[in-house]
Amino acid sequence: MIIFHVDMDSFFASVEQQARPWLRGKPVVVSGRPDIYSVVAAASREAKRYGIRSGMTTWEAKKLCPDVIFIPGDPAKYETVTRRFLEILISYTPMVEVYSIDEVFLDATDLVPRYGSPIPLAQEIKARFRKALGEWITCTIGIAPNKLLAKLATDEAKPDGIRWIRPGEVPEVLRKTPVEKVCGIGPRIARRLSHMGVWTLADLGRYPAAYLRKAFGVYGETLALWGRGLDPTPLRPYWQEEEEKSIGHSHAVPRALRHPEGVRKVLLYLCVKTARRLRSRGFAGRVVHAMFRDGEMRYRGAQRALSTSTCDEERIYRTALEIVEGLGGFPAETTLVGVRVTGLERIMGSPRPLFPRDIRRERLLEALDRIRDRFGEDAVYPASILECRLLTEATGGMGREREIARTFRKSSQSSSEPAVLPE
Amino acid sequence: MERPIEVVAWFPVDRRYPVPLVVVRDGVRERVERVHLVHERWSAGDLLLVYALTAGGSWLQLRFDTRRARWFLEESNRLEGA
Repeated sequence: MIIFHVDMDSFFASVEQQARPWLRGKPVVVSGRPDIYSVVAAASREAKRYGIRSGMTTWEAKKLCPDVIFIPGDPAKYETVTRRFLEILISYTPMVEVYSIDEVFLDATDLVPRYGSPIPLAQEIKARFRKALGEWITCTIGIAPNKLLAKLATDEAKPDGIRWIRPGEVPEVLRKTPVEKVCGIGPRIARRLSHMGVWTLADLGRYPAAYLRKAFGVYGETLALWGRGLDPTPLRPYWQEEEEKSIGHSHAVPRALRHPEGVRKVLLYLCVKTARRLRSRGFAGRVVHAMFRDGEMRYRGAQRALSTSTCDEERIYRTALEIVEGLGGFPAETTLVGVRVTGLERIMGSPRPLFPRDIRRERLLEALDRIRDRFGEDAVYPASILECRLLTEATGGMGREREIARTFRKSSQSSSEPAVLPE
Repeated sequence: MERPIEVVAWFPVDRRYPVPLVVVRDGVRERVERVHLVHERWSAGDLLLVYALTAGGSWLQLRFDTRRARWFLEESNRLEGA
């Protein structure tokens, strides 16, 4: 099996530098709105040289590089570019997994014999990207027998490189790779492994699988496989429907809204988004989960089962508030809040409401959905969440890979136009 | 800043997006030197194409409303050395 991992280099920042030539060669950070505290969504290569990394606060970034240029994120721009490079990859094979907005796995096993080796194919993909997306938007391609190793290959070749891990090189790669380099092994697991004398993937492979299982449960089995350079997760092509298990949203609370009243607005905003997504997918849910994180970075959350399933934002919001009240209410400072609905059932076929009040409510929601379908998501929303929408608009929607895969499935079926930029 | 602007564009059948060729600003025709990026934006049900391009030594961000076939100038920036 030959898996390609295609990872766009400093994606959001590169797209901004492509669009605005005067930003090229300068330290650029894509973040939320510049007038509020925010986090770094992406740093350009130049900014990374100063030690700026994604997830850092904009304040920390400014401290590391006083000349850094902050650009508010523009999700529509990044989504368009993602769609363009996906079209190119899908023109090679339908075995394309949209892993994130800037990362894709591709099963090239059937393609490589035509090229003689994976390298010419990777070079061709890079050349087509350059022509269609622009000279500043580059990618790195890691090639290996599975997704785990392909991702490690990409890390080695970044930026703008190609790295092929041949089967014979795998033991050497495992010997060199620290466990924390693997996506899925966080700092806490890495620390626990280090206490067990496991520092590299090769150490992990030598460690008895039964002990790993005992220490980490089912996850220990995955660790044992990773230690031998194996990856149990198959490539999930974009056209394969994913089973929806839950629908929800969470959001880092902007500084101005961290007080209990402000967080309630953010929660309502998230409930409106969640309910809208539930209805647009034809689902209603029976269990509402609510969670929040306080100023000390401690998480709290709980869930509540409903007597009947719902896709009404008002009911989800009310239930989420009750859950929060049951946990003692929002603290003086809340930094993150989230809501999720599980126990999903198809709306179609479920009983219709009986009482006039419920029927009116259902009609109202249908009318709101029709308005939003026709005039956009911003066309109508509760007035109380206006402030919260304004504060979250620049960062919202960055992680829309599942949405893209879903809509792309439809659009790629109806469109066969080449993805070429005007020259 | 946002104002309607006159653009001479080419609509090739084999391309995804129309290609702006000339931008008319303050009565002056400026040839489009380079299109850096085109992206799509949706406003309600309307597809808007946003062009980042260089014309007459300036960087311009133009928006093409595909429903009304009208062009708007959203941003401009005089490039250094132009």
